[in-house]
Amino acid sequence: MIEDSDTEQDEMIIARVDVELKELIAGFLENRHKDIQSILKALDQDDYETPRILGHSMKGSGAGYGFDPITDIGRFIEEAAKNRNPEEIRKWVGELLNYISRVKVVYE
Amino acid sequence: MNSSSKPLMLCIDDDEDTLNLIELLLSNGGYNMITTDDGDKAIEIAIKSKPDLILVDVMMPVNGYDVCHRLRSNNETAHIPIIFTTTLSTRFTHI
Repeated sequence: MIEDSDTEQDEMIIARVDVELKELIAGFLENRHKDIQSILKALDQDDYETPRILGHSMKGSGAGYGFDPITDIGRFIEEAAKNRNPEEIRKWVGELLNYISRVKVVYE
Repeated sequence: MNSSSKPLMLCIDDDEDTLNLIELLLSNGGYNMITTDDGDKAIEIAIKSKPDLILVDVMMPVNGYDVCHRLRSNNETAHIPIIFTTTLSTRFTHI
């Protein structure tokens, strides 16, 4: 599950990732930055389909890469988008930015 | 089996990260991989390449169920085993 970001705001988060995936990790995390921009832009245009699709994709791929919190956040974004709840979407986008800003990947 | 010694797998998914992950893991696992993010193009690829197995994402712009139906309806591809990949998990989304 996602940790409490209020109490752990500045701490590094360790993600243990299979070394086999090393060549894909930088691109995967960069794509999440792009997702954040796309979702925020979509919300400005009252577009909930984009966050729904991107949330669904994150839900599907995060854990496979070793980033379970991204799967959790993606699920919450998808649900919030289905409910057309922009505040909730923004909240989870903030959690996503917080996570990818603090995560340190350790290859095993 | 395909003429190559390694089995050939076609993976269809509109999500770049999922496609990259599956391609890497299964290539390292001994499969020859063809990937596409386009459900329409996947039918042509399957007819031309005759993969041994097809992985199909359900939620794509071209619905995975529709891709499956079209593959099953074509004599060239009807025999190829298909596995759905999806994060849909409710009983309402079961086949």
